[in-house]
Amino acid sequence: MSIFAQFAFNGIVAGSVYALIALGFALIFTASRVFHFAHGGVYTLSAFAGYTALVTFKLGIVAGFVAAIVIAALIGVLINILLYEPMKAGGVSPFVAMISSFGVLIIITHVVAMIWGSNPVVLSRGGQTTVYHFGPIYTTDAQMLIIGLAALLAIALYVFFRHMRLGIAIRALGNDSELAEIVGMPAKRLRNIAFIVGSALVGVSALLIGLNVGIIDFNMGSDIVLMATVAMIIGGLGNVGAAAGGGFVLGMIQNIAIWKIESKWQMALSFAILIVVLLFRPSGLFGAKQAASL
Amino acid sequence: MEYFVYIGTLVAIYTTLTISLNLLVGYTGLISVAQAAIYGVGAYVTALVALHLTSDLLASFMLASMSGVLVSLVVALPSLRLKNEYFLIATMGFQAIIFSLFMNLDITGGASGLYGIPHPVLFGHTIRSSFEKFLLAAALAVVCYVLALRITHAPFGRLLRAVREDQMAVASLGKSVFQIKFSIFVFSAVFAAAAGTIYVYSLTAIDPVAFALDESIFIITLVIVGGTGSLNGSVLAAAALIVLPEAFKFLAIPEAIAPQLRQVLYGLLLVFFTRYRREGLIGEYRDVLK
Repeated sequence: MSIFAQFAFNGIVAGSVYALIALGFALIFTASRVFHFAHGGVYTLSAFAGYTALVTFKLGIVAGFVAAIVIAALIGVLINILLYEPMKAGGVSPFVAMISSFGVLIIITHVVAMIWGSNPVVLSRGGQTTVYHFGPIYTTDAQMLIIGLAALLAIALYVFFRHMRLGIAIRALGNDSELAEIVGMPAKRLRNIAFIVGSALVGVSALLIGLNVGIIDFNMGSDIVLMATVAMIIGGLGNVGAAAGGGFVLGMIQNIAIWKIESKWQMALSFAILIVVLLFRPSGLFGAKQAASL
Repeated sequence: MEYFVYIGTLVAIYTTLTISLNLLVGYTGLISVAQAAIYGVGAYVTALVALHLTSDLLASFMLASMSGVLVSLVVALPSLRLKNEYFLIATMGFQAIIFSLFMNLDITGGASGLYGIPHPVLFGHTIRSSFEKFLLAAALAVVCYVLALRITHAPFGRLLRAVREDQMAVASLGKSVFQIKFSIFVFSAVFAAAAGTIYVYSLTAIDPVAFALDESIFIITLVIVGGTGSLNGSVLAAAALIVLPEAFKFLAIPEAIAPQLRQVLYGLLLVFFTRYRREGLIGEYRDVLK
């Protein structure tokens, strides 16, 4: 039983990680209707930016996070301004932008490999990692931080989307961007804001997750953005809260499954769930009620 | 000399893969990212049969093709019920699941793959030289090209384009859109799987990484760069994009970054063509990607 408690707790950590990534991914999708696979590239790049500030230049933890966030937000919004917006203006569907996005993911991934090398590097903020234990469960401070941050951001985004003008405007934009523009919303600026906020979120997450795992490598963003896609679809498309929920459920399932299934099948299991959801519940686990309102 | 034969074989294999995928992407409007997985299934089936049973070439092609049909059933039956983005994501899911099987099953040799695969035998003659293997690869590419040309010029080809342009119209004429899509998916899969056979016999080894999602995206890049709905474009793109990065070898580019640079180049081409030239080098319509 105690081993199960640990798996369940690991599930909460992994679920919080996926929720964090899915939040940004879904925020961008809601505003632009693009499956922004390049998000995985932004994730990798910001982790390495944080690594450079923290480990290479030894500027401290705060500088590490600042570097990760700034780089992520900058690259994210540039991808929108230089690629997605012109495509949208040219009447190209978000579907084609999605294919383009694969190209951007490949570019960023391999540029990172050219700069920082293709071997994994150790990411640590120095000093000892504090291990806590509650009954049968072991955890570290990085993990506590991840869970706390995920919970905090989930609440903050809920308030943002339900009660603040900007959040409601972004939802309206995702619902019907033409209509939003007709009633005078600054659609472009709103989308840029979504890219900045969504990318900044992935920047924070990348460094946190890197610190938790202890190593980072150039390829790590590809898997994580696939998991964000799975999370968003099983949660419910076009709804940021549902995507976070989907991420949480995904992390829980993956880790509880380890009880019975070897961990090497995690990826396959996740995609099997994705396909089942796509076929039998395309609105997602939490999407049904909001489908009308979003 | 050996080097040029090797490059030629690669070009022929990718020509087959690109044409087979173009039938889906360019002609029918189905953007599948599972092509590398299907290609891999053909390759693994060939390798396992050659190691444990027979390396008879015709038998290998038969079994690989049958495995292609089988995978089509698994991948296409559910995926074809979905549209656009969701079709793509479902095929991406299957790509990931199948890749995970290559990577983790015992019979497929896991991450190290399979090696020491015997040379193929055709009518009692063992094909050893890499030049003969190049001829095989080229023959498959030619057969694939000719059949694709016939299909796309036949009435069925018009049906494919009609499905791409307006499914409702096709359905309203009493044709089964699903049946049309499924038939072309199976055809495409058979050739992708057969390309897998050629790949295995050319390398006499197999590595799961060759069948990952990146590879599927690379084949899509070839289709888009060549031109959606253009068979000649597919041939041109396969040749150009395989040969071009080989030029890095003759420039003073360090070994360590050459493979990365190659990927960056492919990524740039995918972005450039989807952004500025959606009809590709020789495309039928600009509107296939709209």
